[in-house]
Amino acid sequence: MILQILDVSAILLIAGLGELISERSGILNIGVEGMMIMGSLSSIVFTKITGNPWIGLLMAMIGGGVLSILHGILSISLNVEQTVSGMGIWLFGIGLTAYVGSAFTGTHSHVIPAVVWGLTPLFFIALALVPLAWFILFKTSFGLNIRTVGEDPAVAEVLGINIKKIRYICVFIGGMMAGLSGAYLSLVYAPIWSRRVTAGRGWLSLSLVTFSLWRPFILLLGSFMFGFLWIFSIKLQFLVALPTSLLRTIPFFSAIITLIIISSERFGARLREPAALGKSYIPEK
Amino acid sequence: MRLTLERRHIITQRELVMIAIISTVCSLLAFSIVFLEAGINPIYAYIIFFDHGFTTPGLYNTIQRTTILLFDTLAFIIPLTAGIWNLGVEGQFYMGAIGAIGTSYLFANMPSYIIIPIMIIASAVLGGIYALIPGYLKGKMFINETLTTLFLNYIVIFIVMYLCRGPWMGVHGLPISKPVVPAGRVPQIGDTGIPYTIFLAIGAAIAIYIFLKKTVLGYKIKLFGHNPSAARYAGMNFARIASMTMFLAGMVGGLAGFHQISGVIGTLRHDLSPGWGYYAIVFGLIANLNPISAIIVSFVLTGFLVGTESLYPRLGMRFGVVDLFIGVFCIVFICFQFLRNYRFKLDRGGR
Repeated sequence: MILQILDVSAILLIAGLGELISERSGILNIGVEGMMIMGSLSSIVFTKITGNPWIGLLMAMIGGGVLSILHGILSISLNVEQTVSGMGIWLFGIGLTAYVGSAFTGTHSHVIPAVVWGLTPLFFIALALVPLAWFILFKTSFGLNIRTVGEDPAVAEVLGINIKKIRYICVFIGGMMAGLSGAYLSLVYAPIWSRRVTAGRGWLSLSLVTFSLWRPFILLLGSFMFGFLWIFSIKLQFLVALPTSLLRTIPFFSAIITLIIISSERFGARLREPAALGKSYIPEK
Repeated sequence: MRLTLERRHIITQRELVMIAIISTVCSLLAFSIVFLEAGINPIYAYIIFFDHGFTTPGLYNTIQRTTILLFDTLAFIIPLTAGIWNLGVEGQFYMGAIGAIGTSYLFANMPSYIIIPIMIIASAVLGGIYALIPGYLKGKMFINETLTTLFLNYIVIFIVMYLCRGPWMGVHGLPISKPVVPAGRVPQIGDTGIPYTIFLAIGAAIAIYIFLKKTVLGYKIKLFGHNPSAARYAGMNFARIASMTMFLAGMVGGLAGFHQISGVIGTLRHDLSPGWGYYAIVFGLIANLNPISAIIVSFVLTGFLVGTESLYPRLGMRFGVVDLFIGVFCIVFICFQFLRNYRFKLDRGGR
């Protein structure tokens, strides 16, 4: 059970970290669920073809990345509203995988082998990504550029920062990590494919970014909290006499409640979000 | 001569309609790639596609389905007019279904003319309350409504599963509830299989159009959609507008659930909708948030959906083709959205 909690937490964590970086640069990508499911299917398809789960993993990152670049082109270059574009990514990801994936429905055998305590290297990579993201965002000049672009693109432009380039990089990182977390789901946690297999985990990751107040270490904490709730809600039926279906609502209820708490005046999530988040930047000529 | 992109600030109604039509044609062209990949002649496939969607008997199915998608599209449109993204239409639909079937059990011995109005009210109120939660949170605390509405969608599915396996279980072992009482079924037009609820949906569209276009409250809602800070400076209460638009949307979304329970399926189950509440997002954007256009758009696009459904039995295409169609349609349409901000300009002369 602890193993499952750690795995679900890592899935939420990887996708959340990617989205955090993207949002820090000012681009909101609500298509996390779509990119995640894209990664999930890509990993299954390419693992099946090549027999090597690591190639599947790589292709999952590319799959998520390609979708995120599409979001980038639409929202960064063409100034389409970011919510609209993200929604397109989500519906397209769901649609494409439902069609292509229908030939791959069911369980599959190739998974990434565990190394220590039943955990795969992926779990440790996920953990290592947290300090890495923190270091890049807060201790390097590149991270400073990302945050400047996300807070005030006009200032960034005066400073000579290439806004579009920074945003494309961040969105692409977000897409690759969402794809990676989808691969984690299919190659480690549950080697199974069905339509809409991500079951809302992408949306949970997205809400975790708000919960984290855009800080990687708080995101880590939040991921473990929700990883615990996710598994707890499945296992709780063995302890109490409540019906399974009602218990399964726990993570989603908790997500709403944490959003309420974090948005209260005491925490002020709205004040702390990157100031340019969700707004397209049109330079004045 | 050179083709360039030029930024624009004003777009006419006619240009918006043109964008919608061009993107529809382009998405059909794009989708023919899928037919080619499956080894089917796209022209042949589209003949079957349109034949199934827009001629009888498929047409009856299209009109019946349009009822749901029109309700759903309206439920998406109303809050977005005030700038609020209601992605929870799917949840409001199921809540309406729960309300309809629940009251039909409660008032099982009543005649039709009492039980049906009660079912309508129950589904509208339940859907409305379900949508009021994210609306209030958005209005009062600025909590991201896309997240809360989606979480509520996942929650309601689990509630439906619980009801179907628990208190309302029909056949033992199957996740399907007891059927609605015969008095609670909406009559159908002749032998077409179209329940009279279609008129309710069209009536709702017209009423909402008048409400948004001709009333002061409708004007306030629009102002929040166009310029929230100006609306706030004018002393308007965002919390009230957000709660009200979402409640209204939930009521309309709940009516879709009533239609499905009372007019079509007759039992509660967790697969009442394959995701129509999400398809409504695309429909609403294409209709450009106009309730009257929504009638036409949802009819045409539902015809496409019904046409797509004919593809696997008749052409042996894989399952999931309907989802893919919506996905392709959506992404092509959104790619065309940039034409709202830019237009192509032909540079003549030798500069």
